[in-house]
Amino acid sequence: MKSLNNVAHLRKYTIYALVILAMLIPLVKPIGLPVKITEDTEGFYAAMEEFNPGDVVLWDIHFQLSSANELTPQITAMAYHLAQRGAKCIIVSMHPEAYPFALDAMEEFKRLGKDYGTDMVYLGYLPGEEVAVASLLSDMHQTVPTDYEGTPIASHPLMANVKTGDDLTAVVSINTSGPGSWTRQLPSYKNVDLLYASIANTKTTIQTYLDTGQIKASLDGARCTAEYEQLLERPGKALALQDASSCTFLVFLGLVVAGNVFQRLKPSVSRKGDAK
Amino acid sequence: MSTDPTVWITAILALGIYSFLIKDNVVFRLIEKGFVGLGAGYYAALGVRSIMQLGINPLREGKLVTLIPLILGLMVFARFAKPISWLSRIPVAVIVSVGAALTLRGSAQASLVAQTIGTMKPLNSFQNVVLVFGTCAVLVYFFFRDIPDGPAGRALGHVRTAARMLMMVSFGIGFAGMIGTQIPRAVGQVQLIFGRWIHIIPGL
Repeated sequence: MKSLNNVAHLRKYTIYALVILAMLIPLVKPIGLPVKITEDTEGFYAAMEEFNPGDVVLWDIHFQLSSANELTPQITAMAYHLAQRGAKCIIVSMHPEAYPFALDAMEEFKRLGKDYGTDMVYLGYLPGEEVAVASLLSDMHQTVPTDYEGTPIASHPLMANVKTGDDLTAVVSINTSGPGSWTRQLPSYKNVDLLYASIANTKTTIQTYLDTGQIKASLDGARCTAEYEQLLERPGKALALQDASSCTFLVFLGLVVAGNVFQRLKPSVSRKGDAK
Repeated sequence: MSTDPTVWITAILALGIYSFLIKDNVVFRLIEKGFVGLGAGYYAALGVRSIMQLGINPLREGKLVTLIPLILGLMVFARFAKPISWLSRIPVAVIVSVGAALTLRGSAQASLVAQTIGTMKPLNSFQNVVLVFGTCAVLVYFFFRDIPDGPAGRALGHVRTAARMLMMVSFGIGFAGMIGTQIPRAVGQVQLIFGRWIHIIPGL
């Protein structure tokens, strides 16, 4: 009974050690656990594949620093896919902390041989949340007269024929704040799809929008990004995380199950602390 | 070990933050306050940049209409001067009214109509049955709190129990999603400390 009690009351340091080992061992010696591609990721990949050369995509990068590790692999993978499809990108960061990550997205495009001004433009940080979304879609040139460097956006060839939301093919939003602003403002512009990418725990929120078709496709969390990297045949940071993430999940699962089982098995304790 | 000073600084700061797992300490608090200060500076710098990009530069080019938001923005600071502090309420009122109007414009369709239609499914699959029953049961749970006696009351009680169980499942999914979000964050820090800093992990 004493050993049962010890397991039921694991010291927090033992749990920390188990979690660190579960992360570290697969990183040092990769196990190569299979990453099965889910329907949602296939849907997202298919939606990105529908872009044709010359299609204009508004890419909203909208997340906090704390989500960077989960979402920066999405930026790399999506930039590659958009560049591969020949889509033109207007990048905007709607969250102040997303500014450097939007610069990373632009750098990724440049590495892939795309030209600034012709293939992509970065509008910089745009404050105002939903008001900014509505204003941007109604008149981009009026809302953001200059890009992040202070160059008038009208001087960029990409922006010459892009004035409002009607000139866009899709909005791709990497967003941790929820799709509300886009789902509310985008329906005014016909034939503009919304593709949404976020962290894992927004999945339950996003699913309702997927079912209604308000979001065409979504990519949720590092796991789905790893699947997406597999579909792109371009292993990246998300795939490298998967062994460690899967092992840590197993440790958590084991701890939750063991905790509940041992709690059930051990004799109940009365209020005074005497075992019944 | 890495020879890059930025990796050293990042790794030491990460370790300092994780020292909180042992117990609250001076190093943790120092880094925490440093981060808050850095964040404030970053936000201020980006704010100034945005004002220049969206307000001052267009004004220099003769777009006088940008004077209106700039003046409204300045009025926010009136709250620091007591005699004219009432002025700060005007820009706040504008923000609230414009924000509310824009949100309302799309809410009826996007949140109410579309989401309600989304729950009107044919009961031809297990998934649809769970969705329709779950939505109704949870609505019953929150709207019908007084359970009458008799068979109707007992039926209502069963529906409320089922709704509670469905909500527990939903909370469980939420917890699993939260773990799913936190683990990649933690793995990133392990990669930083054991990979980029002390080079135990190959390929980083």
